[in-house]
Amino acid sequence: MLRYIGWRIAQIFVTFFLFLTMVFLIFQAMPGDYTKQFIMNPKIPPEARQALAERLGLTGSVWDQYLHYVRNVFTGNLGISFQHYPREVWDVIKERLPRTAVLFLVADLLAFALGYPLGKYIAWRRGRISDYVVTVTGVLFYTIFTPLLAIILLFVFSNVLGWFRSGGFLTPSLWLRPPVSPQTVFLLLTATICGLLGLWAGSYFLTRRIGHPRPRAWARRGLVALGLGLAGIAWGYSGIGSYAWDIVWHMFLPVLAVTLISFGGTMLLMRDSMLEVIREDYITTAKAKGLPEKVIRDKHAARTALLPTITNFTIGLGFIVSGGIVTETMFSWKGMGLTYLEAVLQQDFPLAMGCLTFTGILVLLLHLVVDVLYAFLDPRISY
Amino acid sequence: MRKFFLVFAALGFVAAAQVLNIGIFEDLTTTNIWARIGPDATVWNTYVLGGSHGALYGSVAPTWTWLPSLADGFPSEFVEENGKWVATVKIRKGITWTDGTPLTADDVVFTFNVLLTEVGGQRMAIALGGNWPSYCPDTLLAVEKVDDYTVKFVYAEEPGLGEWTFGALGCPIVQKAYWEPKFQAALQTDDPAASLLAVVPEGEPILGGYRLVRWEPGAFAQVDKNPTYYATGESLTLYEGGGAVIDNPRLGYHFEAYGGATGPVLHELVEGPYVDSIIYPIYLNQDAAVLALQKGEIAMFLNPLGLAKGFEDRLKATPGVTIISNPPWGFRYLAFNMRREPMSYKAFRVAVATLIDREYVAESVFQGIITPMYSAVPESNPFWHNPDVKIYGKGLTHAQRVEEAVRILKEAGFSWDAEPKVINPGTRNEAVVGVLPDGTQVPAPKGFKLPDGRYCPEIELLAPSAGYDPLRATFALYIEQWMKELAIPVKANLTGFNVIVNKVWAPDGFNFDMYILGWSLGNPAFPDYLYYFWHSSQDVPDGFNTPGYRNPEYDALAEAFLKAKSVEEARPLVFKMQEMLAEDVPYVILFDTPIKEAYRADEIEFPYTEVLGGIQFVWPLTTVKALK
Repeated sequence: MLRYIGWRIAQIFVTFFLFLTMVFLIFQAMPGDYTKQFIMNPKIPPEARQALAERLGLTGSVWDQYLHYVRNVFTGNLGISFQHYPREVWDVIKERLPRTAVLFLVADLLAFALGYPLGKYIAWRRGRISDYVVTVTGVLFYTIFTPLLAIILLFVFSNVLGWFRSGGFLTPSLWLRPPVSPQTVFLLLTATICGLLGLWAGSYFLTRRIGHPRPRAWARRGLVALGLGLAGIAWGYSGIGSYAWDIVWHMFLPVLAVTLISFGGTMLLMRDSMLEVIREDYITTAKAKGLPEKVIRDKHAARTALLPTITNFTIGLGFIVSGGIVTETMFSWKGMGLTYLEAVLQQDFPLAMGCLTFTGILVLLLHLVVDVLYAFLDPRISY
Repeated sequence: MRKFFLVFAALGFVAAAQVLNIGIFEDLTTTNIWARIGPDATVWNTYVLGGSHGALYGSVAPTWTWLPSLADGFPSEFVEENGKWVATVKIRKGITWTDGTPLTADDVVFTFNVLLTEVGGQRMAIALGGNWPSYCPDTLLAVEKVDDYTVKFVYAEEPGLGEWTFGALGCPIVQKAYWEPKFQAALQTDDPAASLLAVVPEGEPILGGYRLVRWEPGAFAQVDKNPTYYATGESLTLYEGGGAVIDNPRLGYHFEAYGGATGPVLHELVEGPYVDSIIYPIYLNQDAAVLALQKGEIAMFLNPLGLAKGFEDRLKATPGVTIISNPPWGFRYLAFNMRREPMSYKAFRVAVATLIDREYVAESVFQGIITPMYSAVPESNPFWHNPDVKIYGKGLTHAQRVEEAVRILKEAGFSWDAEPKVINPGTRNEAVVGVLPDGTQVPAPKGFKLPDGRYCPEIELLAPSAGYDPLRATFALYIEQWMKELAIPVKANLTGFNVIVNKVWAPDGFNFDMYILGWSLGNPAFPDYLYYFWHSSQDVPDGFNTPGYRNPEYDALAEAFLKAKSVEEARPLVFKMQEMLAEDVPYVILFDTPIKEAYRADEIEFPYTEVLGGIQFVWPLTTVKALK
């Protein structure tokens, strides 16, 4: 197993190298000359300009620039943003990433939580009315024009019902003199979500010695409920709970939009995967043995059918950092997607490269996670 | 839990204060005054921070009457002293910065000394760029303190309106005590201008009615009213006959100008600020902002391009929302790079101008939502607008335009392998075909040649993409089509705004053939852009004279215009300049749109709504009241 992981890491390293090269070449091929944009930027003092030019290799040939770029990435030096001078690229990413991460992490988890059981259910009830209704609904949302859905949601929930604001990620009047920055709250929210996810995953490990399935399930739910309760109390007494709630409140509509758009993909993938699996001989055998239908569906079929869905979900998590440009624009949620778009349009080479590099690293790492997960989820796979 | 209550108590306080929410579509890019007036002079920075620093004088909307702001009365007449021209300006007493210290001549002198300082062989004003050079003209030699409330301006020659009234005297004033250490530190670096621009000011004392108290990047900016604002309670009465009276009971200041209180009152404006806080939430799309306006989440939103037609229809039916329309103060234009062939030939530019049928696009394509324009000064400014400029192709049919353009080009020596000819003019089968030298007709003209017989090089027409501005993108496609009908090898490249800007103002020169962009035109009281856009001195990298228009006769007029001592003296010069521009066609002025704006009349009250350029010019909102 370790040898396999080592081999995969080596492959990822090569892939990452190729990815970096592609990114570099794409930026070189862009219209306009970013080095001129950089030289023209009056905010950057000449001495800093010279130092930056040397750091990015802009004084040399394209080959020199490439070598500098690769070396900088591998030494963790993403450079300084031209647009946001004198801020480091990493500093800009740190500001915007938590906003996007929280939003899309929650939305992706909800989309998975909705798409997985629905896919499983409609595959099992293939050809019935519920299959058609749920499939059509999923396809409708999956293919809907995102800005249209966003406007409908804003109109209904904000304009007609008045439950939410029409955009943004915080209420200005509340954040006039906050004790902490929104970034801190976003980071803490991300940590809370990751902690709860970890607790949920850990609950399987902690409850594995409980023999009977029903008490085991209750113990797992209890642990997650305990975690949720503790998180709620911690936020309540932290003094910044109202600020976190304000952000969560603003998240509702964009999360709903992304969830509605995304769950269809997971659901259809799960449905197709399930339909493949339920034709397998071992499912027929299980049925012949007289096992309850729920057990066959959930334990025998769904666990196997889950594999491609997990792959899709896990790799999709990597793209959380790039965000959804349309979603962020429609809900005025200035995160990584818009940061990347602006960086490209403004030819802020270091920032755009930084965003892409960050996305690439995360996607490749999650690829590795998927490979390892497979070993645990699918007993047929051995390394 | 205690903190919880504190937060809600704070919220309660905020709820009790009068707060206006006004949506904007772009974030601030700086809070540094040197950058904001300089390279970061975006309209969004101006909306939020525009009124924070006062100036000695200014033009007051809606009549654009030139009046003292920080100054006490009008400046003295210029007198000659030892070959130099000197005038003095008195500063009002009793004006204080937000830190409680008084505004004195030291602040004014310091501000100008920063701009006059030589750095790297040029004045700081030039190095800072943007609007600073217009506040510090070349002829300004020094600004000196006479006493605590009097400053002396020294010019090399007697300055005109552009260098004095609408130049130096409109310069924003900064506090010496705050900026001097930062300026001195900047002078120690290799590039003092860049170092000054890079300063992030914190707790900077200001003079304006509102001060920035919070900026959450990507979310909102908030300004609160300045309790020490010098003009609070000051009334400005504008009379129909042009008279103006300022009364400031707080400072015991009274001033009358242009005939004073005579005739009917046109406007009576009393300075606030009336609102405790103005919050500018950032909306990244107009749909969300329109929904927010309908819901009452914001009182209005600001957009320099005004309200799109679709949104106007939606908002018309919304109770509480008022839509107003004002004439624009700007234009969208086609520029030629006169440094390159064939744009360097006047006949070519005239031919292209003849081909462009603005009326057709305005009426048939855009259904009247745009207004065709012909002169470099918009019609909305009747004092300066010359209605009698030459309009190439005006009133001609499509066939006549083609024939006229071909005639102009042939007369100038241009030729074709297959010359364009209109067949079946005025019918549904009207078409432009090519005619070979032997008289044979071919389906299309071809082989467009320069007067020296060489084939015309490929021409790139840059224009913003439809996503940014569908009006300009559509116009570009029509212009491309009309030029192609004459076998002129042009290709419209609809691209990003910044890509166009980077090509037009490339560091090593102007790297374009033709482009379509737009201008907002600054102070309507004195259109000094006529100098900056077309004077040959501005034909330098980063200069505003992008076409490279060099006409000594025009230069002389533009210089005389800036030096004119009165608007009456300047007006005929401006008329003549418009005629020359229309004749020589460095730009083809295309169109603009009326500025439509929407606001909630149940939440916000403006002292006037009829103003050139729209109510976004009722700034910095110190006369605006909140109704809730």
